[in-house]
Order: sequence, then C-alpha cells, then structure tokens
Amino acid sequence: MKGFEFFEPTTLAEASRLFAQEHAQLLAGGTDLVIGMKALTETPQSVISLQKIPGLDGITTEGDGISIGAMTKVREVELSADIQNHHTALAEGASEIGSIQIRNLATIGGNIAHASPAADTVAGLLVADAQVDIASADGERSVAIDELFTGPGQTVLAPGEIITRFRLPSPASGSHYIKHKIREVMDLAFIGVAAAVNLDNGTITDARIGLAAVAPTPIRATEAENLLRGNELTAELLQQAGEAAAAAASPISDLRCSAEHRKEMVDVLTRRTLQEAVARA
Amino acid sequence: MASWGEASESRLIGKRVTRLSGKDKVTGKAKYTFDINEPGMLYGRILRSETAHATVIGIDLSEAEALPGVKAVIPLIEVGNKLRYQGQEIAAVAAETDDIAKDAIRRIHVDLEELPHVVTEDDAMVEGAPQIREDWAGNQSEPNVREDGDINAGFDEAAVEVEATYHTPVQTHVCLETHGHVAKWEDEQNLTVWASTQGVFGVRNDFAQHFELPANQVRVITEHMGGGFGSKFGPGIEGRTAVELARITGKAVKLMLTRKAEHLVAGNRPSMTQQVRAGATSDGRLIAYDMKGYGTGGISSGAGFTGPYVYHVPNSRAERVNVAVNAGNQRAMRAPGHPQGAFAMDSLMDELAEKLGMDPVEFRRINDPNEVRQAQYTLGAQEIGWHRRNTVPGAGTSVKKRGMGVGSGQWGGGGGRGTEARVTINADGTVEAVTGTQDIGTGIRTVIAMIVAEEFGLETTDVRVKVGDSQPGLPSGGSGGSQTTPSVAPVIKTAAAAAKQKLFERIAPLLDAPVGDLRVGTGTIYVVSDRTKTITWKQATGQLGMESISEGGTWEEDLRQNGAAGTQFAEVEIDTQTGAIRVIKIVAVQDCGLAINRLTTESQVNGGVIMGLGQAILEERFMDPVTGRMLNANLEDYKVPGTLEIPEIKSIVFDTHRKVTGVGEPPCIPTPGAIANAVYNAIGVRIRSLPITPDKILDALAEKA
Repeated sequence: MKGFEFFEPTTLAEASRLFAQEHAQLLAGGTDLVIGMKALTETPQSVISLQKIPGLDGITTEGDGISIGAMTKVREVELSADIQNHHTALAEGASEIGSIQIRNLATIGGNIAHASPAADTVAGLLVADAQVDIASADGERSVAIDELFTGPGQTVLAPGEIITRFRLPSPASGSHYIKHKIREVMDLAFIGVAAAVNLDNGTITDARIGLAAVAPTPIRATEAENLLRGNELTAELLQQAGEAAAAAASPISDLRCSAEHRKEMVDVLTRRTLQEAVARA
Repeated sequence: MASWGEASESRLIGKRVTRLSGKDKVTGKAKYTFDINEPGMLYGRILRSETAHATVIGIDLSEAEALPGVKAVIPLIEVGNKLRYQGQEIAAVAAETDDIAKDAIRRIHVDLEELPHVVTEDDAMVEGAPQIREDWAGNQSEPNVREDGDINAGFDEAAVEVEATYHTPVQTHVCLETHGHVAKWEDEQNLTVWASTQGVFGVRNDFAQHFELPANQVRVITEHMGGGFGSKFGPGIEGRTAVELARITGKAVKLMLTRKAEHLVAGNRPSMTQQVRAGATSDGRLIAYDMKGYGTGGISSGAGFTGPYVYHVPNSRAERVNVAVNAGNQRAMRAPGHPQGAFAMDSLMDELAEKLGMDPVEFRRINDPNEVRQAQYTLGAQEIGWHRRNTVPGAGTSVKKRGMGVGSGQWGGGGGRGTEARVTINADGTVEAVTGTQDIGTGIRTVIAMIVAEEFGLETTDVRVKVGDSQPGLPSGGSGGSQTTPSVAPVIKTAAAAAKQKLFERIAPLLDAPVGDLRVGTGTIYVVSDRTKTITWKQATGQLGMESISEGGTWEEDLRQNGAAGTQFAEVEIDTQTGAIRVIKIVAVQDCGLAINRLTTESQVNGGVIMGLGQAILEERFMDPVTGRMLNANLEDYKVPGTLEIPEIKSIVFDTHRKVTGVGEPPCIPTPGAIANAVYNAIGVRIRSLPITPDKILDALAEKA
C-alpha cells in the first residue's frame, strides 16, 4: 500500500470538497478500495472516510417506497424484511456478495459507486427503478440508476459528487435475481439477471429486466420488457423475451468463457428469472 | 515376526480417534510458520520477474538500500544471466516492516533485454518456436518409450477400437499456508529456522550444506504446516534467501511467499495431452494400447504421467515427451502423474466399454488384475446405487440430468527405513514419543500417540508427542509418497515395545512373576497367570525412581506393506441449459491396509476427493501467450472448490490386511475419471479435457444436437 492522507469528515459538504481534489478516493466499506490499494491498482493520495457523516445509512419506508442510505451495509439490505418482501431481487443480489464477513463491511453505495458491471446489487436496483440521490458541496441532484453508469468503473458523478441514497418507488409485485457463477459462494458474477413484474389477472402490466456483467455497464433489456408488457407469459413469449435480452447484451470473451456462451446464458437466465418473478407476483 | 495383532485385540489401533491438534487448530492456538514472530524480526520480500524470458542487463539496488527501514538488499541473479519465467527471483530485501519491504522492492531497478517466450505447450512445439532450453531441440525432451508385447498383433485381435485425445491442464498446489520461513541465527554457527515444510530433515541438511554448518547446528522447526502436497520438500530459493538475509542483518527474518508467487514458482502439477488408440476383444479384453503424449513441467522436466494405467493390456506402446515452456517449475503434486493418467485411462475404458456394449464396471472387472479392486467395484457400485444409472447415456428430456461414473487408482505407500524415534517412560508415569517426522496435516501426531498408548494401555492424550523439530536429532524422511505413517509407525511401535519390555523387567520382581507373564491392561500392569497381581501404571513407573526408560525403535518390514488400491464412483447432475455441473456424491473405496486411525484416514480420503474434484471441474492455470504471464495467479480466478462445491463424500476405508500402508495421495487419483464418466453418463457427450466447465458442456451438447 502506498502512503496516503486519511480524512474523516463529519459533513457531506466537507467530504465533497475533499473528494473534489485530485487523486482522492472515498472509503465506505473498503472491501473494494482497500484490496485495490494493497494490490497498488488504487493509489489514492487522500482517502476520505464516509463513516462519520450522519444520516447516510439505514433503510426507511417512505409511503410505498423504500429509501436505502448509501452507507447501509449490504448485509442489512440482504436481511431487511421490507426489501426481501418488496424488492426480492435486490435482497437476493445483496446475499450473493462475497461472504457474510464481507457483506457486514461492504455498503450498497460502494457496490454501486465502484461501477463494476458485475455488481450484485445493481440488477436489483435496475428492476426496482431506483433513483440515486447525489450530493456535493454545490447541492443535490438525483439520477435514475440506469443513467448512472457510463462504462466499467465510470459514472456520471462529477468530481466531489457523492451518492447518498437510493430511493425505490412502489415495488413490482414479484422479482427475482439469478447470479450465474462457477462457485456457489465467494465468486464473481459471470452474468447477473434480475426481473421484476406486475401482473393483472395473469397479464403482465409492467416488466423490468436488469442485466449485469454482460455489457460495459449494467443495462436494462428494454426490447424484452416491451415484448412482455400487456401480454400473458406464454412459453413462446418467454422464449422471445430471452432472445431479446440476449440480443441486448454485448459481453466479452475472457479466460473463463466466450461471449457467445455468455449471450446464451442471458437467454436462459432471463427466461428462468422471469418465470420465477411471475410465479412470485 | 512383528505384528499389529488382531483387530479384536486392539483397544485403539484401527479405531476412530479425534486428532490431537484439532482443538489448537480450530481455536487458532496452533502456531504455523506464518505465526512465528521473533523480537526485532525483519520482513523479507523478493522482487520477481514479470517477464517470462529476458537477459538481465543491470540491477540497481541503491534506491532500495537508501529507503529508511531497509536493512539488507541482495541480488538473487547475476547480471548477464537469463530470467526464464514470470516469478523468477531477481533480488530480495529485509526491512523493519512488511510495508517498507514492499516499498523497497519497488525501488529496485532492473534493466532487461527481453527475449521471445513461449508459455503454452502448443506454441513451444511449433516449428521455429523460440528455443528456450538449449538442451532440448524444439523444446522437447527425448521421448520416453515403453513397449510391451506386440501392439500390431494386439490391434489385429481387437474387435473394437477407440481413438481419442485427452488433456489435463497445469494445476497448482494451492497450499493454504504459502511457502515460507522465519530464520534466526543464534550465533555465527547456530541457525534456527521455522519452516513450512514437509521435510524437516531435508531442509536442515540443505541449509547445513549451503551455509557450511555442521548439520546438528541447524535446527528446523515445523510445529504445524498448512499443506504441502509435494511442493514443500526443500527450502527453495526463498528459504535460503531468508537465511541469508538473517545472516547479513543479524536479525530474525520472516519471508513468506505471496499468493501470486505461490502460483508462479512454488510448483505445479504438469499438464498432459495424450493421443491414444486402444482396442478390446469382443469378449471384453483390453488387447492393445498405443499412446503418444506430452506435458509441460514449465522450464524443468518431470512432466510424466501414467498410461496404460491399472488395467492389464498385453500389448502396449507409450511414448511421452516433456515440453519446455517459460513458466515456473513443476514439483511433485499429490500422486505425481497419476490423476492425469487415470483420467485418460478411465475415460478410454468407458469409451471402449460403450463400443462393446458392456457395463463400464463389468469391463473393468475383466481387465483389472487387482483382487482388492475387484471387491471394491462390488462395494462401490452397491453404495452409489449403480443400478440407478442411465442405461442409455444422456437419455431423457429433462433440463437437469444425472449420471454415474467410475474410476480407479493404485499407489505404493509402503514406507521405508530412515526414521529414528525414542519413546520415554518417566517415573511420574508420563510418556513421551519423539521423532523428527512432521505433520503435513494428515495427523501423524495422533497416530504416534495411538500406537504408544495401545502398547502401554494408556489413552492417546496421555502421550506427549514431539514431531516437527530436527532437534534432538532423530531423523525421519520427508512426508511424500504417502510414506509417513508406514515409515514412522513401525519404529514407534518397536520403540514403545522395547520401553515396555524395560519397564516389565523393572517391575517383574515386585510382582513376583516372570517378565513374560506381564501384560498391560487399561492403565494397569498385571500378571497374566494370576490376575490378582495388578498394579496401576503410575505405581509401576514409580519404581523407576530418578531414572527414565528411553528406548529407540527399529523399522520392521512386517509392520507395513506396499500397495493401495482404490475405486471411486461419482454421481453428477448437469443443467443442460447452463452447463452447470454439480457433483452430488462421491463414493471413495480406499484400501490402505491397516488404518491406524480410521477417522484421520477418512479425512485423508475426503481431502483427496476434494482435490480431485477441483482438478475435475475447476482448476486450470491460464497463461497469456502475449505477455508470457499467468492470468490467474490468485484465488479469485484460480478457483479451488469451496465448501458448497463439495459433494456428499462416502469415504470407505476398505480393510484388507493388518499392515500399514500410506494413503495421503491415492484418494485424489480416481476422482476426475469418475466424474468425467458420470458427466458422459448424464448427458451422452464426452468431455475429454479437464476441467469440465459449463462452456465445454454446452459446446459439446450443441455439437451433438
């Protein structure tokens, strides 16, 4: 690890000012940053802890919606009854991260701000239609989760901007997340697929599909969603939705498997995720 | 003739006894080399090459030397010499903290003239490939050819033939505790080293020779160690470096390998690619076998593999070559050469059986000359429920499909001479057993305690066992070749028997009975002809006064035997849409003669199966042909089984004779073959290349469709 200056600001404004400097990194749970610093892939000159800033953690209900502070531990997201009941895909995604020890450290804000296309909470947030609250010394703004990412490790956040909260509007009636991986636990997602649906008498009134690790950023499979809306989930429609989701993916080939294999998996897993989400709706 | 006695006479031998060091290990009390911290200790680090092939033009240590807290910087390669693989040692530092040592490493500047490299076997064998070993034309060793019978005549007799190519990639050992040492010079002539080693005396002798010290002035201690699997026999460059840094600085130095270095330079299981053609007669006799294969052990030789394996083939020809690549040297890895060869042979056997329309187990029965395994086939088949397997491989339309397979293995494990031990009985009744072996993790402490306790009529917890220390100079061999228990147990047994005899001689007058009439009970000594004459163990040892009884032992040929047969059956489930493979159950039927401790024997079988599972479905070293570097030199991308990958393992210790045979290695041999055959039985397509990954399964299914 290289030497660095460590800050523990107590206000967002102060944190934002520090974070706006060059070569500054925010420390939330540290489960990505500290590993990177040890491996020297991250060499920040200043590290700004968010631990001492009040009001950044906790899960609260706001009417039909749920608000999750950015510093909320992933483990808390996983175990929250509200999230388990209303945003099952997000709870399932949180439960897939690392080990329990890691989940007790890692935060949902960190998981998202790190902007890994393979983040396990991102597909659940995508299908929850989450809004991301952002603060800086200059004020606050909010962006939709599907507009947050611009590339691997890249977001629309400007220097000094800090994610403070995720706001989830009224939930879908059923959702599900599948993480495709080689090992059962302690493994990164090959592919993550989440689906959330609303049903009215068997007809899908709304459908959202989120895909992780199959494109430079996490994406929504909007073509597939459009096919589903207003229809009943027949075997034929399921197949079409799977194919449309696969067409939306632009995965890479790497040492573990080929892009074609990943596309095929998007198809299979989209169908499986949808079936389960509909069954739960 | 020395004997372990009948099972009915044994109170402890052959029973299940909890590992004596278990509690210390799970509570963290057990001290591994990594846990050793000496006052004023420095931290050693090694700068390693990131280039696969280069000539060293210059090394500048000055900036590292100038860093505050750095106590020594030494070059490990001479200018003008060649670096031949990523990870090769360039220089080392010792510093007050590990962070300073890491910083210092980055301040060593190395000028290299890069040379063309090859890191895969196929690239190395291409005509015109860069020559990376001067003694091997075309980067290949002279072929090793073995012939038996007449293969042409054999093929003439064959009713069916199979031709196939089987491949297993390079696998690394992944010892949980990386290689490493803490070195401390007591003075200029006395050296103490805590080493994570499977050969305390081998390491001691290496240091003594290298640093020109009398052997008894080097003390090597390995109280506990986190796995070796064949990779930790010698001190390696890192061990000598730790001692040299300690010598220069006059301080203790800890130098443990990083996980990355562990993958790169601490050994690996060589790859295997073999083309084989084999034939069988219509009545199911394996009649001809013709194999040509190669493997790489990195820049070194040693990439052999078995074949034909286990099954009898009257006419065979096998040709093997070593291929050199710019990668770290192979080292012995749990049953060297066997798991690769067994995977190919057992796959081949199933392919032949199918052509013959024979049950794979039946086909093996015809061709396996080993009587123990003949019985194991019956037991294993019964235990897995062989009758439930797919009679037509891949039959059915369900998304998830199950299948079963079988595989076999054979090992020696007979032990050998060279262990010295002492068993001591003190006047206060305490008992001590000392020998210079080491516990590689298989539980030799407990085995020693059981043998002594059985001999004396005591409990295992009554026996203080000291192993893993080259002092007081009771040598024992390295823990390799599954030799530890068969080498050590006879010596302990005879030492304990000799000590008991001495004790009997002392107390016979007291009991007014001939020495030959004395027997041990449970915590007692009694006269067999008059059982009213009984004294407690403590009363007996009280007779020793100020003296202790301390006896050495001898190696007894009759207490051990060579040859361990094993068979495994696997059941797997394949998701035909995702290619996901789940191993549901492994039945491992393993013979090792007399299992002194049934519980730790079962644990060794479990461990072997888990390692075989990793080789079968997960593990593979990936080399980047462009950069010459290993792409997965970590535990995130080099995947070993986690607890949830581990299936139900039915570990059956298969009793044969009452002589000790080692079992550390053989249980990892049959697993990949059994799993590969189960995959075929499930989905009707054969994966001939390990590891069997989801993408290979989907590709194979797509090709079939």
